[in-house]
Amino acid sequence: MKLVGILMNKRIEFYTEASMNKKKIESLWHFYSVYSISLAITGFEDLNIKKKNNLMKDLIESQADGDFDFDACNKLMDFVKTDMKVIETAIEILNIKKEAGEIFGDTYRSGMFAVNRYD
Amino acid sequence: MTDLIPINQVFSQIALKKLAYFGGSTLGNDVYYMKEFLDMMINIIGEEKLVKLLKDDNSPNKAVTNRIGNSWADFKKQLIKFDRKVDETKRAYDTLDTNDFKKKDTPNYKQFLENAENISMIKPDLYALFVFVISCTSIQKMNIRNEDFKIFQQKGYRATGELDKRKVGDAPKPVVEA
Repeated sequence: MKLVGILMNKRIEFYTEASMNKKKIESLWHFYSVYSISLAITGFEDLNIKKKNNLMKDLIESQADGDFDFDACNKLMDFVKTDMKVIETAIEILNIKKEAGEIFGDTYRSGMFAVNRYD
Repeated sequence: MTDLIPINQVFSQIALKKLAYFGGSTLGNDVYYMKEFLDMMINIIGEEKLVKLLKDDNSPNKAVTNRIGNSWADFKKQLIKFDRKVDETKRAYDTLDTNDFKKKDTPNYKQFLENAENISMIKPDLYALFVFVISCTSIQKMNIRNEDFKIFQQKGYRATGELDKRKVGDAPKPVVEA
C-alpha cells in the first residue's frame, strides 16, 4: 500500500499549502479526499457524510455567487478537527503494514529471474 | 488477500500518471482522473474477476467492498450516471485560463464551480473501490514521481508548445518572406 501512502502524503501537503494561501475550498477538498481514502483503509463509517457534502455544496455555491459563506466554512472546519483522527489512524495502519513488511503475495511470476525497479 | 495481479509496465506508467493528476487537482476534476483510472483498471483486471475479488475481500473495509461486489450491476449504473457529471466539470475546467484558480472573477470559473457543486466531496463507495483496486494489483508498490504532481499544478493538462526539432549544430532555417 505504498502508493496509497504516497497519494495521501501528497494530498496532505497540498492541503497545508492551499490553507496557507487562503484557498479554503481547495484545501478542504484536498483534506476530505484524504479522509475518504482513510475511511476506505480503516473501514470506519461516517454518519455525517451527507451533512458535510451539503456544507461543501453551499460553500462552492457561495464562491460562485461571489459571496463566500463563512458559516459553512467554519462548520466544516469544526468537522476537520475530529476527522483528522481518522486520517491519523489510517496512516498508523499503513505504517504498521510497512514496518511489518506485510507481503500480500508475489508481485511477479515465479519463473521470472529479473525485474525492473520502478522507484 | 490473494496474489497481486501483475500490471503491464506501460499500463502501470499510464495509471501512475492518472493518479498523479488525481492527487494534484481538486473540485471534481480529481474525481475525473480517478474515474479514468478505475475504468482502465477494471478493464485490465477483468470485470468478472474484480467482482469475485470484491465479494471475497477480507480487509477492514469488507462491509463496503462486499456490498459493491454483491450489487455490482447497480453500482455500474451509478458509475455511468456519475460519468456525465464528472465530464461536465472536466469540460468547464478545461476552459479556465489558469489551472491554479487565480482568476476567480471570470465567467468560466463560475461555470466550473456550478458544475463542481453537483459532485459530492466524500464518496465512500468510489474511494473504497479505488483503494481496493490499488491494493490488489502490482502498482501498489510503485512510486509516483514528484514532477508529475508539479507539472499538473503548474501547467495543467495543456500542450507545452511546439518542440524545436533541429539537430544539434544545425543552423536555423531562414525565414522566407512572401
